[in-house]
Amino acid sequence: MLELDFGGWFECRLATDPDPFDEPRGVSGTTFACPGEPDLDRVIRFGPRGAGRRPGPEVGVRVTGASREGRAVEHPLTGAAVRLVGAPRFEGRNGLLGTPGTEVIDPFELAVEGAGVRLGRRDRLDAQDGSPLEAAPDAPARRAGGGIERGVAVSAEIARATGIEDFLEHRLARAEAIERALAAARSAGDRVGAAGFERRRAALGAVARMRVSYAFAVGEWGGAGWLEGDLPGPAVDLDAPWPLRFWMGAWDGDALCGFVSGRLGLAERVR
Amino acid sequence: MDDEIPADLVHALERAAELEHAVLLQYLFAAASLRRRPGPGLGLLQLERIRGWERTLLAIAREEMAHLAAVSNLLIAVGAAPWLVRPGLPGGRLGRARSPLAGADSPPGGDDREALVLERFGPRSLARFIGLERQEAGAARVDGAAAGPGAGEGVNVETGAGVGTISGHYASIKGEIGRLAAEGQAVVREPALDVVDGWRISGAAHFPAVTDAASALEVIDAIVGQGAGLGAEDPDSHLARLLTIEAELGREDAGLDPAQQVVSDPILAPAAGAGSGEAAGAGAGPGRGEGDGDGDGEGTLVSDPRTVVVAGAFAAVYQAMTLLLELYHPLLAAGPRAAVGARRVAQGLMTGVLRPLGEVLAELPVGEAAPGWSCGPTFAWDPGIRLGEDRRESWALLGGMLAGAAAGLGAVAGDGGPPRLAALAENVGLASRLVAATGGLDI
Repeated sequence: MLELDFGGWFECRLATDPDPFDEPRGVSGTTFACPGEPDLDRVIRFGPRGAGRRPGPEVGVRVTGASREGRAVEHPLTGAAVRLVGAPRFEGRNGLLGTPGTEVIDPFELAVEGAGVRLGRRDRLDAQDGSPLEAAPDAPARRAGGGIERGVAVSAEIARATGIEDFLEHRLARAEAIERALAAARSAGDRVGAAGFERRRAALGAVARMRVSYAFAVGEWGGAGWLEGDLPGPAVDLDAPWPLRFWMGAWDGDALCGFVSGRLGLAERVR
Repeated sequence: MDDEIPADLVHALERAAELEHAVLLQYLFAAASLRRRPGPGLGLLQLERIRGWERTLLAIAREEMAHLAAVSNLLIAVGAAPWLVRPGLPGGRLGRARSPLAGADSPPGGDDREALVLERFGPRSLARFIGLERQEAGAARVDGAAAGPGAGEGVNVETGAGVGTISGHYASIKGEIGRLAAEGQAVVREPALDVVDGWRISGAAHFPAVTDAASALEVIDAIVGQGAGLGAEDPDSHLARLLTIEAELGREDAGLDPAQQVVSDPILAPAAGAGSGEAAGAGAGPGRGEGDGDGDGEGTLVSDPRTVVVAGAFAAVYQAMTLLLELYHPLLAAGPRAAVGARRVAQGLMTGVLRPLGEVLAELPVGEAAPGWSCGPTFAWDPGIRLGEDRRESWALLGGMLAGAAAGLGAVAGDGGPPRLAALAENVGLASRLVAATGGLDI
C-alpha cells in the first residue's frame, strides 16, 4: 500500500448560518462576498481558483510525503497537486441533510497531478450512485463529516499543520494587512475595493481551532480509478478501494479558506 | 391558593403571541423585497448598504421570533399551551381580538389591520416599524409588581405610548402577573422546558427560564427592552437600529428605490367583499394605498399561474413549520429525541426554505392585479388546517403538506422556473423525510 500524505489551504466561498445554504452574497452569517467579488458558490477548491482573497493564505493542496508499510519513501508524486474534481460542495442544506460538521461532500472525485502523472478516482455514494438528496437516508453517513472537534489536542494539531503558532497574533497580523490594503484602495480611489476591506475589517475573527474528520474508502461502491502517465514501482490497483482519511478545519472566515490534511492509500500490485 | 389557570392572563398572552407573530412576518416580508443585484440606478456600493439593511431587518425578525418563543414559554408556565395561531393577513383581525385585562389595548394605530401589513421596504414601511418599536418603550418603565389591571393606562405619559399600544398590552400582562402574585396565587404552574436563548435568535437579550412571577416579569422586560431598549441611544435596540437605517436611507439619492416592485399584502384567494388592490401612493405597492385601511380582506390577488403554485407551496411550508413548533413543546416533555428532530426540521425550513423561497417570490410576477409587480412571500394561512389529538395523524398531515409543497416547487422548477427552485424543492422533500423519521421517534 502506497500512502500519500497531503495538506494545504483550500478555498470555499460559502454562506454560513443563519443564511440559507445557497445565499449568494452572505447577509446574516459570518461570511460574505465583498463588493465586486463573484457570488458565493460553495465549491470546495483545493487549487488556486475562485476569488483568491488577499490578504489570505496561499490556496493549494499538495502531496507532502509518501510511505509504504509505515516507512517514508521517495516518490515522484511528492509535491504533486491534490485536487477535488468538478464542483464539490458541503451538502448540509441548513441541517435538513446534515447538521454542522456532518455535511457530506458531494460529488467527490479526488485527483493527484504531478511529475507527468494524473491519478484519480470518483467515489460513488452508494450502490445506486445517486446524489445524497436521493440516496437512502443512511447512505450519506459513510462520506459525511464526523462532527465538529475541538480541544487542546485539536488546537495543537491545527497549529502544527498550518504553522500558525499564535492564533491571536495571526489575527492581528491579518488585521494590519487588511488595514494596509484598505489604505491602498482608498489612496487609489478604489471605493468598491475599500468597501470590501472595510467589511472584512469589521467582521474579522480568528482562525477557528476546530476541525471535522472524514474517513471512507474511495471506490467502496465500485467504479475504477484512473491513471494517466507512467508511475514507477508497483502498479496502482485501480479497482480496489482506496482508503482515505483527512480533516478539514482551521476555518479562516475572513479569507473564506480552511486547511485540509490527510492520507490517501493506494493499493498496489506487483507488475 | 387558586389552582385554576388564570384565563385573563392566558388570553392576554395569546394576544401578545399573535402580535409578535404579526410583527416578525412584516420584517421578513420587507427584507425579502430588497434588491440584491446591481441595475439601473443601483451601484455596488449602494447594494452593500442595502445588504446591511437586510441584515438588520432579518436580525430584528429573528429577535421577534425569540419574543414569540418567550411568550410561548410564559403560556406554558401559566398552564396553557403555546399560541401559534396566525393572525389574519392581510387586513384580518387578530384571533384574540381584545384582552380582558385592559379596555382598549388594540395594537398600534388602534386598529388590528395597521399591525398586519405586508409591505415592501421603503420609507413608509420603515416609519411603521419605527412606530411599532417606539411604542414598546413605555412598558419598560412600568413596574409590574406595582401595576394593577389596566396598568397600561399609565404608560403613555412621556412617550405617547400606552393604552392602545403593544407596550400597553405588555404592561397589562405585567400588572396581572403582579396582581396574581400579590394575592398569593400561583403564576407558574409548570416551568417551560424550552430555552429561548438556545435557539440563538435572542440577539443581545437574555430570556431567563420562567420559574416564578419574578422571572416571568423579567422575560417581559427583556421583550420590551429589546424593542426600544433604554431609548434610541441603546445601539442594540430595534429602535436604534431602525433609526440608523432611516438616517442612511435619507442620505441616499432621492431617486434610489432599495426595494423591488413587490406588491403589498399578496393574497392567494380573494376574501369576501375584497377588492384586488390598486396602484397606491409613493412607497406603497399595489394592494395598499395611502391612508387606506377600510374594509377587511384587502390585498393583491396572486394570479400568475406559476407564482400561485410557488406561493401556495410557500404557504404550506410556512404553516407546516408553525404547526411543527406547536408539536415541539409536547415533544420536549415526552422525550428529547423527537423534540430535537422537530426543532431541526423547523430551523431547516425557516432558513433553508422559507427565506430563500420568499426571495424567489419577490421576483415572481403577481399577475393581472398589478402588471409589472412581483409577489413576495404571502404567509397565507389556512385556518382549517389544525393538528388534532392523534399524534400519528398530525405527523402524517405535516409530511403530506411538505411532500405536496415539494412536488409543486419541483414542477415549477422543471418547467423553467427560477434556478433556485430546484434545490428548494429538494430541501422541502428532505424535510418531509425528516418529519417522517421524527414522527417515527415520537409514535
